[in-house]
Amino acid sequence: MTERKDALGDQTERGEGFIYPQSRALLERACRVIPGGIYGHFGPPPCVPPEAYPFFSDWAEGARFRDVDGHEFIDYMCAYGPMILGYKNPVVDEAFRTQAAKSDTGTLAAPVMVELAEYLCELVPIADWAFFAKNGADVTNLAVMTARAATGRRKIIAIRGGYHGTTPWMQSPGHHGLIPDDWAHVIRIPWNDVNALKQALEENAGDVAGFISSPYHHPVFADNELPAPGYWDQVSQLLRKHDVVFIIDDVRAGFRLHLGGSNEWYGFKPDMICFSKAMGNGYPISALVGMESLRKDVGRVFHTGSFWFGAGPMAAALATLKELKRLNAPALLRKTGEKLLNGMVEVARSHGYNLKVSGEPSMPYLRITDDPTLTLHQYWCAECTRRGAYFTSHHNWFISTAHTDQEIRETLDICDAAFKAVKKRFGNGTAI
Amino acid sequence: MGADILQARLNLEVVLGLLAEVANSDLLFRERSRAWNETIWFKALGGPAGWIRFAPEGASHGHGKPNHPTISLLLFSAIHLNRMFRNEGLPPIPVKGIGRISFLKKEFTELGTRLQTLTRPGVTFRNREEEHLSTRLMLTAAVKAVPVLAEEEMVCAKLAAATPEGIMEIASLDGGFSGWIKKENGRFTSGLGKPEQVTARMLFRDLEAARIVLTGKEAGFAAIGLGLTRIEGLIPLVDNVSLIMDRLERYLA
Repeated sequence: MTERKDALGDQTERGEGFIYPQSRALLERACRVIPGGIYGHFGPPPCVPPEAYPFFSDWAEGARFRDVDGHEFIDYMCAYGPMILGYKNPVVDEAFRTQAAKSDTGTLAAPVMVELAEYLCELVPIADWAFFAKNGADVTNLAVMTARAATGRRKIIAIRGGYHGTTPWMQSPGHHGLIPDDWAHVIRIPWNDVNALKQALEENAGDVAGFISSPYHHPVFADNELPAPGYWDQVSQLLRKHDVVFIIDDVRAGFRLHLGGSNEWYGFKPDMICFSKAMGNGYPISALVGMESLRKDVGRVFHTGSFWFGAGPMAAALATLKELKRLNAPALLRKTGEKLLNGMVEVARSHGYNLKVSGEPSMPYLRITDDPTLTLHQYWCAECTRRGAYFTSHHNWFISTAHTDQEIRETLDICDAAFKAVKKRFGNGTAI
Repeated sequence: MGADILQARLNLEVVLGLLAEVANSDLLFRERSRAWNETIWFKALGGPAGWIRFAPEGASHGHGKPNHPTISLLLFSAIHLNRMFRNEGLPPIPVKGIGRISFLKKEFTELGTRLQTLTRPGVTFRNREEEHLSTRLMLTAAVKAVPVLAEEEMVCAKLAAATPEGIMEIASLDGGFSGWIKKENGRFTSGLGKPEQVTARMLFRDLEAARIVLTGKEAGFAAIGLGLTRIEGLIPLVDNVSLIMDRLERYLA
C-alpha cells in the first residue's frame, strides 16, 4: 500500500503513474509462443491507453490484486464477474480443498454433483433440474440446442449487442473464422422493443425455437439498459403464444441481483436460465437450469466435456451459493455499489464532469458524457488504474462482497486525483 | 452487389490510386512519370469507370469520366476489366488514343509491374525508402478500399451497417502516413491526409510498426500491448473498420 500511495503523490505532481516493465517483458515473451500474446477479453485492446494498464498479475486477495510489477489494485472487474465473495475466500477455498483431497476430476461423477443440483433446484424457483459445465458458452449452447430439440425449429432470436459467448452462432457477422451459415438462423432485435420481437415471431412463424437474452441489457461500449416497465411480461406472453422457448442468459448478472436468478428481481419466469461466472467464486463451473417441461428434451441433447464433472468446483459452487445466501449478497452488493457510485458521481461533479451511471449498482456501467468520442472517459479510467483502482472503460464493472468501506474511500480518493489529472491535461475540452 | 463489380471497383478506386502513388513517390518512377502527359479512362459497359492522369505536376486518379482523356479504353464488362488488370483475356478496345497504345504496353505496364513488386509478400527492399513506400501503399489500399467493400461486399455491408458513425483517423506517428475513414448518414467515404475532426484513432508508432502489423508479423492484440499501435476514441468504429479492412486481402492479394 505504501508503494501505491507514494506513486499517487508522484502522479499528482508529475502527471505520472504506475509503470509496468515486468508486465511488458512478460507480454513480449508471451507473444513469441501465444498468438496475440493474451487473447480474448483479457487482451490489450480494451485497455486504453495500454501503457496505463498491467497485463499480468500473480497475487489476489479480497477485493485486491497485485500485478507482476508489485502494484496493488482495488479490483472492479472481479475477473470479469467470477469473483463475488473476494479472492481467496476461506469458506469457498476450504470447500474446494476438502473435495479435491477426496477426488476432483475422476472417472465417475461425484456425489457433490447431486447435492449441488438439489441445492440449485431449491434456490432457483424455476429450476426443476440442473446441468453442469464449465463456461457460460457451454450452457448457452446447451440451452439453444434444447430449444431446438423441444420445438424442432431452427431460428433463435437474440438482442442486438447481447453477448452469449464466442461460439460461431453467437458472434457478429464479419469476425474471422465465421461463415454466413453461422448466423443464418439468428435474428437480432433491439433491446426493449416488443414490437420488433412480435414482428420477428410473425415473420418467422413456426420456425423460431428460442429467444435468448440477458435479464437486462449490458452490452459493451454502450450505456446499460434496464427492462422497461411491462417489457418482460409482454415478452413472456408473446413467447408463450408462439410456443417459443424462453432462455435467460444470467451468466454475467447471475446471483448479483437475486439468488433465485435475475428474473426473480425483475419478476418474470423464463423456461431456462444459464449461470456461470459468480457461481463458483472463481472456480470453473456453469449451470443450465430449467423447467420440468424441458427435462425430456435437455436429457436427449448430447453435450459434455472432459472437465465438466470436476467435483472440486462443484463443492466450491455449493459453498459459494450458501455463503451468498448467508450474507444476503445481492442486497449487500447493491448497497456497496450505490455507495461507490453516488460518491463517484459527486467527485466527478466537483470537477465539472458528468459521470453517467447505468445498469445495476452491483454491475455498473459508467461513462463521462462530456466527450462523445469516449476518449475522456478512457483517459480517466486509465488515470484511476495507474493510481490503483482497476477500471476498464467500456465493460460494466463488478462489485463483490469483499469491497469494504475502506476500499470505497480509497477508490473515491483515487477518482478525485484522476479527475484532477484529466482536467489538467485536457481542460474542459475533449481528449481527442 | 456482385463479386465482379466489387473487383472492378477495387481495381479502379484502389489499384489506380496505388499506381498514382507509385508514380509520385517511387525513386524509379518519380522523375520519369513527370514527363508523361496522359489521361487514361477505363470504362466497363454496365459497370464502373475510372481514370488515372500523369502530368508534370504529378499523378492523380478518380472515378467516373475524366476531363480530356488522351486514351479511352472500353471494356465489355466488369469481368473484362478485371481480366485486363490481371493481364489476362482480350485486350481492351481503345476508342480514343489508338496511337498512344504503346504507352499502355510499355510505361503503364512497367508501372504496374513495379506496383506488384513493391506489394509482393516477402519482397526484399533495396532501401528504407522503398520499404516505407510499400507500407504506405498497403495503408492507402486499406483506407481507399473501405467504402467500396462496405457497399459491394455482403459481409462488409453487414459490418458497415453495425458500425457507429464518426471519423476514424489512421496514421503513423512518424508522419509517414495519414488517412481517414468516415461514416456519415450510413455511408462510408475515405481519403488521405489528416482529417479535420476525429472520433476515433488507429495510430501506428511509425511505418515500421505499421508494416509489422499489416504483414501479420505481430497480431493486432499483441501490437497494442507492445506499443506498436494504439487505438482510442470510439473503439467500435475502429473494430468494425479493421474487420472490413481485413477482408481486402481476399480480393487484392
